[in-house]
Amino acid sequence: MQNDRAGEVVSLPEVTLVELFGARVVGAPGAVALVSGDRRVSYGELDGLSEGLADRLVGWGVGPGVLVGVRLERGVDMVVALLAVLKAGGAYTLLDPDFPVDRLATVVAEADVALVLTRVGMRGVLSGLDVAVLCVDEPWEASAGVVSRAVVGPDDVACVMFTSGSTGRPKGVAAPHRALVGTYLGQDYCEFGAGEVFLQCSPVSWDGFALELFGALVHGAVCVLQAGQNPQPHLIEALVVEHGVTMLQLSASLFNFLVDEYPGAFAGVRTAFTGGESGSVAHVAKVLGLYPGLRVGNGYGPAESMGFTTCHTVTDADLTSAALPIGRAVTHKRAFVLDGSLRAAPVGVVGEIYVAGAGLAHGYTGRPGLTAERFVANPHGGPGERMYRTGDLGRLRADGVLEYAGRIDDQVKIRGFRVEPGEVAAVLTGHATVGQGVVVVREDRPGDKRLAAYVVPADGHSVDVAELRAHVAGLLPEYMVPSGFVVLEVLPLTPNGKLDQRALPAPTTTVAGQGGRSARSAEEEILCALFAEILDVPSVGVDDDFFALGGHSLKAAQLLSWIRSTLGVQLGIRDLFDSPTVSGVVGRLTEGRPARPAVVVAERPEVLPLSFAQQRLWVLDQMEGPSGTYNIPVAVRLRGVVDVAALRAAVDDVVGRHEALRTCYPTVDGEPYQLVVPAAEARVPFTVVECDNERLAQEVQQTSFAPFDLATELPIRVELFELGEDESMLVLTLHHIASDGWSNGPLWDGLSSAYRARVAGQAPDWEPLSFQYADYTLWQHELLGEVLDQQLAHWRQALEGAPEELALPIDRPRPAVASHEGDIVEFHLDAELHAGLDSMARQYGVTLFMVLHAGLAALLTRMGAGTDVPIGTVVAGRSDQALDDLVGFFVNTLVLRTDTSGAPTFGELLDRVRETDLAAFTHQDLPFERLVEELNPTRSLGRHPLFQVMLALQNNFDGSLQLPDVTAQSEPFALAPAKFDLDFTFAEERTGAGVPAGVHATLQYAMDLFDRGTACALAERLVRLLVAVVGDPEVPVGSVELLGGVERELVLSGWNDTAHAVGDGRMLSEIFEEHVRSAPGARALVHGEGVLSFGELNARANRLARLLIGRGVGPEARVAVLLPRGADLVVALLAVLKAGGCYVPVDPEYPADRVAYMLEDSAPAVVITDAAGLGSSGSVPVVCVDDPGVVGELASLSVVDVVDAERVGVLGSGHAAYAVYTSGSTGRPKGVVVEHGSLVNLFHAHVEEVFAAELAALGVGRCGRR
Amino acid sequence: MTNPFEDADSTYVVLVNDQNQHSLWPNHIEVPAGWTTAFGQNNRQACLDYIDQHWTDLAPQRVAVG
Repeated sequence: MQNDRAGEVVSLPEVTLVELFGARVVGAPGAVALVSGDRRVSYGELDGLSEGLADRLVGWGVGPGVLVGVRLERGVDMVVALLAVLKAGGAYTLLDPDFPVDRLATVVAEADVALVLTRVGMRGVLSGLDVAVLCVDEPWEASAGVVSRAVVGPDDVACVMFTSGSTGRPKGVAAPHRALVGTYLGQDYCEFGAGEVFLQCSPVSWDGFALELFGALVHGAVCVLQAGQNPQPHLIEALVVEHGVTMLQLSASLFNFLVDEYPGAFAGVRTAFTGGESGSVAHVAKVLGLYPGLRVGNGYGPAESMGFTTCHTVTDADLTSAALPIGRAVTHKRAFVLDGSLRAAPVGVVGEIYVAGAGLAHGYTGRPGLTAERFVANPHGGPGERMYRTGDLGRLRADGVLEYAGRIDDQVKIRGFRVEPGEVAAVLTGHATVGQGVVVVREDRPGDKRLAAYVVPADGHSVDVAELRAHVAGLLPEYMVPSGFVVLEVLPLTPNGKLDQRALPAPTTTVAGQGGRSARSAEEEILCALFAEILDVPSVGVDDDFFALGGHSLKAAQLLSWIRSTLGVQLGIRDLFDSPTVSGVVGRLTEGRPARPAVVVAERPEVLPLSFAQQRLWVLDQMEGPSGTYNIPVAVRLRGVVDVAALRAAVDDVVGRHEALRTCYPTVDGEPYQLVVPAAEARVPFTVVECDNERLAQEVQQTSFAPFDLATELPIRVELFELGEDESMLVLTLHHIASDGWSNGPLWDGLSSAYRARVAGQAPDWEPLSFQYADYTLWQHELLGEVLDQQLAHWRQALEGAPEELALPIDRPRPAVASHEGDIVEFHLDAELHAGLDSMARQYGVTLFMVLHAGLAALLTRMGAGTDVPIGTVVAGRSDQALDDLVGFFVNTLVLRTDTSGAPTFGELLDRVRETDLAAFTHQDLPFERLVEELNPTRSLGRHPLFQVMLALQNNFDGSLQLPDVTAQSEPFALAPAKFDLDFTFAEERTGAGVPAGVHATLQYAMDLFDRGTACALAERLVRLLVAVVGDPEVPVGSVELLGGVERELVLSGWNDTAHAVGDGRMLSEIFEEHVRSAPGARALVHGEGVLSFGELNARANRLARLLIGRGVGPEARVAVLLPRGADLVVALLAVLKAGGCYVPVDPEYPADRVAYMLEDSAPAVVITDAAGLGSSGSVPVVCVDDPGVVGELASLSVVDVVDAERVGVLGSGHAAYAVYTSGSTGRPKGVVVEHGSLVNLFHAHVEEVFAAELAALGVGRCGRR
Repeated sequence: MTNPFEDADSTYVVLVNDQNQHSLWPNHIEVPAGWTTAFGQNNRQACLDYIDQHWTDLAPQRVAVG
């Protein structure tokens, strides 16, 4: 007949698998049969091992018709067991140890399994089943006599493969030896023979399993057994390379994944199959591009026909078609496309695919009716032959090649596995709370087929999705568990009363990361990011279930491979199944680490010692004498009427709650101890002062830095400055010995809730605290003996030989004694950069902190600090969640030492930083003070010991004061003592949905060492470096361009030439002009509208300068520049300088009252602005740059450089060049004036401020005072 | 496309070959060579019930040679 796709007629010998294997043993007993881990097993050994067990099985009663379950992990023992069962004459069925036990029970009952082979360690789970169990690893006595084995023929069943059944019961496909032998003998769909190496990586429950094992063993080939029950991409790649694998049989999902992620898995492979589901043309094309010699086969065939029934070797022509054909029938098998009357369908017409030939199974064990429905009389074969109706649709091409065209029923393929949605639905409705349930496959994202379950609760019940999911997962293999569950009131129906599939809503992926605990450690943070990345969801919480969020075995394999590469720990897929959450995985990772005792409520000793951190502060306090260095003041401006009595009571409430706030530190025999003052006796100094705005700053400063007497005073005091009837300033000053940044949350939240209660005449209704700071102190002292020695050993090693002082680009020599005078540069990473850093962190399996750390280390190296870079950071030190609610000094300081040598790429640096930081965080309990004592570095009053650069990413919840009818706004303190040379602090901003919204950053620098310009330049370069590496993380950090375009040109060509002349009295405008003369065509500005050359920029600035001179601008005249970032701004700033004036930049984005204040306070002679800014400029004379009159006037002016003669007065370096505003402690910005001469010396900062527009155009954040 | 084996309203027979393998068969389609009707015509479920009762060993019965 025309469309009978019979394979070549080759006679099939009447043999069994056992006979074929036996022939190989005789032919080449020494040849390698199996490779499993380090173990190689020859044919002879394998035969010997299986002979013994076969005898034992025969003795037990195994023979033809007896089904033996094999529940062993993939490995040599499993293969030995299978061969032994076959040799004994029985049939095997593989029971995947990863499958739920209840599924096992179903299978055992369904298929009438007589005996299960397992090993001693796994027998426990079988104890509840009604089946005999035999352990292959327990000793047994060989029977004395010769064991006689039954004769086995090709029609005897060799194996039973379970596949999903639509009625809710799995079906056992009973395949005779003939089906297996017929599938592997005389075939040419791939190379068979002694020289081949087959990889066995398919799940043992898959019908393709037998090809990988017996396809090798009947031909004398090598079978390499992958460890683990599921295919693991990284192992596949490694095994292919190590053992020269020649054949890979892959589900299409796995094939595509390997092509994308592990293309090395195809190196040297002769034939790779993509099958089980529709293959991807694009992926096949990609892999053939990489390995032109590779043969890619698209195989087709159900288990009922022993897998491969048709096969197509992909040709070049296929690579331009939409789908891969499934080819022609293989040898000994046939495939037909039939119509509804079982007649051959014409070429090109879709019909149902029927298969026949040697591969056919006997049927479904114990299901004669079902067998007779599917294995039916074949009208196109020999007399009495059967055919199997597949339920697959197909059509024949004119050249006789078969194309797949979908399913006739609901059956679906999930990652190559057959799934009958009806079986899953039956399990759903088996749950007491479910009335109706349907399961459909959805492909809401192309290529990502997932099962979705829709359930209607049974009357009087409600459905708990988590419980239902657990129920399903307990009964079905992982690939059959729906990834989405939707509870509906009623199932949508079509007018005909059928399920309306299109009306079913897409399941919303369980919202991840909500409600659950968020990450507490770097490992958790990394794992949350890895989970989220692999699951393709925005975020994942530590308690979210990997599988509930759409994870499956393939993604699990990917996750495990990433965990291995990022955290250096190899977990098995079973570990993930057993604990599928981030916290569970962390538990596995930390197994074997010394356990840290939990904080407990401790009995108070008579003398309560100080914690280590407190001890250090106390010593410093003693050494320095009374000072405010370690005060933590917070000022909050309150608008509205404050109930002073309630506020006072609320302060007492909070102090009563937290012992740390009512602890003094007197001494006994010279040793300090914690004296906790009873709550009833604690008197917090609470002063109400009438004050006016003029004196406020001074008053606040005074109270904030007034010293505490730790021996006699509580470490907290409160002052309320009343500024008017409904405005006041609350200043809360704490000593660091009682508080830290993380304490702000409990402190301010407590104060807020206590105030609300007190206003209402009540006491606050608080849950009692689990612990007090004293408990932590005692825990820490106990820990010292147990864990800290081990941690100290780590730190000794980690910091061995580290530089005591980092070579920083300082502007002047370090004084012998640090003054601790510091100033702050604020800068910003914009949302785009923030998102880029976030995604890079995910990609490299690091935290955002680690990215910043790597960036800073790279920058310092580039700035001449060498390649051994210790940087300090702080950790919360609140090892237990219960400590989060406490006010107290927990924070600890760690030293992170990074090796930046060897010209690493940024990606490589991230790997190093991750290792360093994770090790540091794992050993974070050792108090820094102890570390300093132990390492005993050369002490100096001029620098911080062990490190001088600090890096912190604030993730501590900044509590805020929220009082009824009062608005509270915290006021920043501009100047705090500088404890480090450079102190970088970053604070993330995110939207409610967690979307990156930018990172606010401050750099506090020691004024002893650095000029402001140098600090600004450092900040800018850090940002520039981060921008560059986000763009290309594989760029060597040594080659990242750190200078902006203009700055670079000035430094390289302009500035270098004249560097020795700095300070010779020339103005920056002159230096600029000189540069213009040398390179007028060079690109100066990249801005929104285009590019401006130096010549053009200079010309425009000259014209505007002349216009300004015409308006009276000259030395000491201030010109406010109220313009947005852009070319006009740069032109204006240069023009003011050229005119000899002093510019005052005013950002139009500032709040209107701030703009108004700045314009008033700076008293400018002229305001340069644009049409948009006219409304804000007040009564000052205005030059509006886009006013047609001004434009016309400018056009009439000369473009040549302005000379002194033109200026209103002669310009000197002592004249003011610009005035900028810094935040004052009173909330009023404060103007700072910089002279022209200083400006030249501050060229880095200046150039960057002048050319802020260019930097902005490059996506670089701002640097400057605000 | 309706499969001829899945039409609940149609009538069926039960076929048997010389290996005692049973097959559901649509009554309106000619019986293939080597098969004989063992039961029916009847409705689909009755045919399946017959098979469940009478075909107790799925293994093909060995054909006596000669």
